[in-house]
Amino acid sequence: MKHLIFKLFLLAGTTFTMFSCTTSQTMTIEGQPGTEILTPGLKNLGTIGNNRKVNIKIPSDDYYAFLLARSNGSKELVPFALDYRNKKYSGTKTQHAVGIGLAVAGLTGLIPGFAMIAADSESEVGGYIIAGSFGTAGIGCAIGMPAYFRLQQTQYQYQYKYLSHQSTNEDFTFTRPVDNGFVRTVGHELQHHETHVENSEGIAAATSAAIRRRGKTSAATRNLRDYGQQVSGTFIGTGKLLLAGEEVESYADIKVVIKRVDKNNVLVEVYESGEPFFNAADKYSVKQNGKKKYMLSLKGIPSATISISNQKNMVYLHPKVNIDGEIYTLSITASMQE
Amino acid sequence: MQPTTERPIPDKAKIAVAYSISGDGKLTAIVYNRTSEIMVIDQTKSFFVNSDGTSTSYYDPTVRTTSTTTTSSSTTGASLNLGALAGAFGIGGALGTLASGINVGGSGTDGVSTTNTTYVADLPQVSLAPRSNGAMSKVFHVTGLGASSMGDMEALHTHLNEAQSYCRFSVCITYSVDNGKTFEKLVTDFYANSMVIVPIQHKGKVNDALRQVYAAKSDLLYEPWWLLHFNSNIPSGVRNMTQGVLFDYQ
Repeated sequence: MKHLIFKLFLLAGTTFTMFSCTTSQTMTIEGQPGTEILTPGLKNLGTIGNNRKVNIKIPSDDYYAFLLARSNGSKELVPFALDYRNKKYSGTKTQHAVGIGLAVAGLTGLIPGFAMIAADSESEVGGYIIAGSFGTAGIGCAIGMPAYFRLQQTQYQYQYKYLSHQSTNEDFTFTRPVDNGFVRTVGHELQHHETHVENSEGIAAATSAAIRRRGKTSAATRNLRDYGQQVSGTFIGTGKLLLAGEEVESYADIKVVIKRVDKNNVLVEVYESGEPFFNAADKYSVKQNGKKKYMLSLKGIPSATISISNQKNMVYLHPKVNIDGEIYTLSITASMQE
Repeated sequence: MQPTTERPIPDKAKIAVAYSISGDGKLTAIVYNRTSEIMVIDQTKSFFVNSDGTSTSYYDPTVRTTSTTTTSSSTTGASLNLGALAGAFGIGGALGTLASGINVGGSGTDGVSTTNTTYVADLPQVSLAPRSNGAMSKVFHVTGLGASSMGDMEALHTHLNEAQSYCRFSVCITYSVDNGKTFEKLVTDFYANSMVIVPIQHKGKVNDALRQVYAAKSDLLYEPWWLLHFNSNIPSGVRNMTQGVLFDYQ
């Protein structure tokens, strides 16, 4: 009996291991040196080195649709999505099945072993069968348990794996939006700048007509026929307000912001000393007017134009600016701010 | 127009309200008393008007709700620096981060961020101490906003005006700074100005689709508030991100 117990402990101790098993996936992120890679919860996963790469690890039980990149010296967090492929993890499933099979076989073998011991307490064969069964069951657990815990992790449950190489989106140039809201002045009602009111319906109709559902989208690439992109930017210069040909106001600090809507349309916002001149951005259509020269026309008021030369100089003319019932002309000359 | 560091909230403004919207479309309003008087907020006359037209008062004695808010702010004289918030408000899940370091005060100083937690119960009137802040008692779900509202249909609405918007809602906050003798209203109208939904063309190439979103709306990351959502069948983990806070003042 002592020999049996010794054999049991010897084999069980050497074969039976049980541990929880969590794994992680390593992937390479490519981008600009010095860029930090962060989880959406702002946990730092690594910093891209001078070789423009960094290896990061994500636990297999954690699911991130995206991560964040923060360029060296910048506060901006730019999301980049994590590409993936489907993976069935057949090997792990097989390992789990084999482990279960061995464990069951081992436990089953205990029955005849114990039967022999019951019949003859000194039975050597019975002892070896019991020890062998425990050993087999132990091996089965050692193989099957880690596989079982691995299969509980999110990546295994949903059968996906992130691609081993990912890229940030730092190469994108993000623009500043135009704030079309009212300027709230403390102590007064909201101020409106009266302007070409008759244009508002035209803008609404043109914009809704431009909104359409695309059946197919394609990856963004620079397109020289994208006039909206060609003229987008900020122009700095001076301007004047005229009434019946006579100058009534001059402006030393004018900023004109042009923002792309689509290939042939842009939104234009005018600022005077930092304050918006109009109460809303205007929509202009864009046409090419020579090599790298463009002509913009205001929707609904074709006489309101903006010309942009190949040197990125702008001449802005709006002959129908309605201020308190009077019709003024706003004239601006400006150059693109690099 | 949203206040910026170049054009902050005027020193004369008595009240400022920060509106935060979570990834699932829940709206939280935090009121800042910018005066040296006690500000009384009349919750019975403060409302949330949802995008479907329904109006709900901030005071409802039949429904007990509690809300807690963690705000980071510092007051330096008359200026209010909301500072940078790291992490979440703690209501309805992660709410992203405030525009870091924005100073909505008039002095232009960078204040040290401190954290205040204020509990505002469901009472008819609530008082705010001078130069303090508090969260309105309810968090409302805005119909049409949030990850669950985005669906699977392609969409390319990059610059909608108010008339075209698919989601318009308002908040009215009624307050007094003369011990309740007279009340004023701050009514803020909101509208969603864009929705861009791009399908993943090649299986697994999620970043390609995200880049198409960026290409369609290149000013996304600088909008005062935005939500980025990835529609997947995995219920756990992180699938969306919001950033930004909307401000109003009077």
